[in-house]
Amino acid sequence: MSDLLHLEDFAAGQIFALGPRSITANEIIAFAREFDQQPFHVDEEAARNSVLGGLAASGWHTTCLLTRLMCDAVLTRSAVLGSSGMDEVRWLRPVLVGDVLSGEMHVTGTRPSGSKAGLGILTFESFLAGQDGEKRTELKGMVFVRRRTP
Amino acid sequence: MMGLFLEEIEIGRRFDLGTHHFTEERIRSFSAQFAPVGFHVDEAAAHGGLFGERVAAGWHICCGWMACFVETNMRERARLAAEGESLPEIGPSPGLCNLRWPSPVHAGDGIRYGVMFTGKRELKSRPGWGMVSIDADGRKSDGTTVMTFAGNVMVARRG
Repeated sequence: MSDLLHLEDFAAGQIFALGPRSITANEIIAFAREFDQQPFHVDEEAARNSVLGGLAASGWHTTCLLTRLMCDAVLTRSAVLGSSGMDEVRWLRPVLVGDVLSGEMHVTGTRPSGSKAGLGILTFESFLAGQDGEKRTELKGMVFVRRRTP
Repeated sequence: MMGLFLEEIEIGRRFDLGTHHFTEERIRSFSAQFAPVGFHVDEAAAHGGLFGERVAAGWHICCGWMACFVETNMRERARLAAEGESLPEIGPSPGLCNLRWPSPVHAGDGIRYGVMFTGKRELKSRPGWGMVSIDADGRKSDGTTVMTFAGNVMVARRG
């Protein structure tokens, strides 16, 4: 456990780079078939004529990809113990087939948990943008992280 | 939303969205794909973690809500279409806030989801469209709440 990052290893202002990660039509359709079978997420023909302008990933899919990229960047090597929630999820623009996503996770604060000994709260803001630099999604939330000194 | 135009959205109306079942296998594969942190993917870490055992990823709980929401939406649209009603174009969502996961979900749990309309307004920037506010929830069979959030969905206007 000691090689994992603990609450004391984080501080407001830290930035972790996310991605790059490309997304395929097959991935978009497979996720949507299970969780979001709206025509613009599962049918290329219907998607072309929709408000999204092409086969687009479910917003939930993009949020899950953002979470995965935060895991890859820092959370899998941290003593993270879960989350009780997120303050804000924003889906700003559709994520379309062929988009290459990259972004940042900003640590906005760290504090000991008031109720749970040995536990801390890390707050963050993160985003993913496409290859055009335009933001696709944003996330503000928290994760519980173990403290090195209880 | 639910085959309704903005004018027909009644504030306070609630829809039961049905139940999504969480299997051990899918809890594992979802976490491996999207939240591969120790307490989700490693048995020992799960036992030593906050929950004492393996639990579903929070986003998995949200995706279960979406699956039930979309299924109910499609069913309502089909029902109205069969009655000869005209249907609005399906609108996207700009996001949500105040997402909470107050209790964990385990393998074998069936989560029953719901949605309630809490507000609506016309969109000056997008003629023909409005924005509807919703409260989403998910509960275990014993009534324990496992997820809540406040979301927004774009809904087409009839007029």
